[in-house]
Amino acid sequence: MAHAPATFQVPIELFGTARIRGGTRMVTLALPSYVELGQIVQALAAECPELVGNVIRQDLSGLEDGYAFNRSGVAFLGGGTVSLQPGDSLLVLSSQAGG
Amino acid sequence: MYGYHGKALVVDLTQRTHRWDPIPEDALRGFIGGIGLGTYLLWKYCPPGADPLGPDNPLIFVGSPLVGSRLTTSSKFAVLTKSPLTGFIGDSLSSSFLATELKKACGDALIVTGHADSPTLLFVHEGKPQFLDASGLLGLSTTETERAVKDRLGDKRIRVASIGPAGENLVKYASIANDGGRQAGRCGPGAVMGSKNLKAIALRGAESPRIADPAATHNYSLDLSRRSLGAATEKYRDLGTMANVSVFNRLAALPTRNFRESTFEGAERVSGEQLHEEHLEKNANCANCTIGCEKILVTNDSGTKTKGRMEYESLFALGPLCGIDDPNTVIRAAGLCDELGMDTISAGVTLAWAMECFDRGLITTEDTGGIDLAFGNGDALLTLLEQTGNRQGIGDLLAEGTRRAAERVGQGSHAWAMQVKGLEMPGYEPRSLKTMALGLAVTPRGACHNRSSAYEADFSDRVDRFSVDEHRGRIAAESEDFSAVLDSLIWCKFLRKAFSDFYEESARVYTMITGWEMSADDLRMAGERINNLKKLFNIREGWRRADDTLPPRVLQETLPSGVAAGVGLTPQELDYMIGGYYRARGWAEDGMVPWSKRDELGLTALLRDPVKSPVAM
Repeated sequence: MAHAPATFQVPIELFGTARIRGGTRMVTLALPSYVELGQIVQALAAECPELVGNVIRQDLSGLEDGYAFNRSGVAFLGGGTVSLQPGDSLLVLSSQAGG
Repeated sequence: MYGYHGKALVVDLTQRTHRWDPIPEDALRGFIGGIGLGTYLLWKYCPPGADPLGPDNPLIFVGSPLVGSRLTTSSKFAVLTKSPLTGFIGDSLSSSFLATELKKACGDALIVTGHADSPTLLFVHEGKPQFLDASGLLGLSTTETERAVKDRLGDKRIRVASIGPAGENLVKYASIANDGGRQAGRCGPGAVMGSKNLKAIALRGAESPRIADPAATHNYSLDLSRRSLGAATEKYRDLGTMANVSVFNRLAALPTRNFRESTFEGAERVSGEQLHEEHLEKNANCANCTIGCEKILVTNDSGTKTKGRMEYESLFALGPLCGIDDPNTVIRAAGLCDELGMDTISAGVTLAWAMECFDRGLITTEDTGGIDLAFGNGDALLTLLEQTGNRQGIGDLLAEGTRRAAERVGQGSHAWAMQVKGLEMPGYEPRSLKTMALGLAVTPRGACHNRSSAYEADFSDRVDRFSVDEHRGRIAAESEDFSAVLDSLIWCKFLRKAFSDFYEESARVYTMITGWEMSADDLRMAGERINNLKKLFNIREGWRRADDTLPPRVLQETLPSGVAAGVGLTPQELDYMIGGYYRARGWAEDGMVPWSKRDELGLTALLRDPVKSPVAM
């Protein structure tokens, strides 16, 4: 019998437009150690529906162009499976650094 | 000819004469406009070894084929000169209505040479220059000057480029202001203007050249404007570039207290999010721009109410870099720099250098006239900015920029003079952004975030930003070439993600406007050609391999905090990346440009011809 993977609480830090649209600096999601980026997007959309249509694509297939995920301030995430450990956080920020 | 005039207005302030010089078609095609065409004109009109503050150094204002087309973000112009800060190529961009009037009044470029024997207002009306007395304008701020010139000439449609007290006093990083406070800021063009006794330039033109295919351009323009309002530019529309503060702080890339640290405990107070909530008065646009990244902020304390534009570079340099977390002080400091006519980056970095000297006892209250120049002292920052713009007290030293100031103070203070080739560093911590570190080291105009957008790789999953690898050279070279095309057409950088295929679309637009066939590959090569010519200019002016480097602090100290704690950049790592960059460019090991590369890019032929004889208006 298959078991659902164990999850742990992962802080999602919102920056810039995501923070303004979401009306909060941080939300917390229950995520497994190995998780598809798409699953994170769907969980974030459920927790923070204000982001859908501007930061998150309307069809929940990913973040809108110009936004990116970063793990713990270290690695930008391009897609596919994400490996998370307790203590990790995920950042939602603009992928454009120009200034 | 479509899109261009095919000529430039050359004004000699010494003789009070002017002429129209033709610009060959192959130069227009090969260098496009803006920064590219300006580099070509600088090569042609600046005698080798010219004193940057001498009469021979030309001050060149350049438009582009896109100006006047109504394409979003295209109302931009470039200012080229030999930089008094670096002794190498100095180029800046600015925006708005002046770009359109420049193209109407002066052809493809306005080239100012010589030295006026008294303070002068140069008024170019439909191609005819007048040399007017500007004695009554001396000492006025940039916005006061613009207002006074418009009142005097009695035409609100006149557009004005002016210097403030900093330019008059030859502050090495003085800027040129236009359209109510926009600045051609970097590399000290305002000092060159001041050295010519030229307080202001007023422009009023007749008409722009025709567009080859107006209908196609119009349709494309509508489509691009629509795309410019999408998610890819939302950051700029919502918070503007101020959004960088909180992100950079979290990523340990926010230069703090003169690059001693890369995280700032007060970052939240001066973050874009906070400023947006507590200080935003309104958003503003450059002429012909649909994005509207400009944030006009206003102070909210009990002091004198001050309004001003704010962007990330001003915010980092006058805030965290000086240890200041009071947003009202930063707003006042940025406004003060704009009114004095000083580059906010160089001003902030130079002040931060002085604060560290004070911290180490190399500069004392005896030198500062009793001012406590500790990191975080906002009143000291404001006082010293004022003194710098007016070259009063210790401001006379700070007006020279970090490299020269460190040479005068000595005692090892060059180690924390945060500059490359004499140009002060922008707000990107190179130790935690390794691709950007390379970009900062090799870019021809000195430490610059705009002519190299190498940071884009660091803010993506393409590279590990904490380490180096063999690909960084190619990435940096490609990002420079991309930027050169962007800055020559000229598109705003903030539009870059709105293109589906930048080179293909831009080539198509170029053909719509000029009627000249241009392919994506042609444009790529133009970008490479422009960067090679910049390098050749620097080589002509004395560039050596040792000039491509980073400040000793970056190469000797590791970062102390945040996610980058313990991260550094060794001289060997930097050399490794620089070697890769030279190889990617097809240059010799010592960074020189071989003749074969000049031939390949058509530079040998393009640079051979002397300036042609003048043409009639």
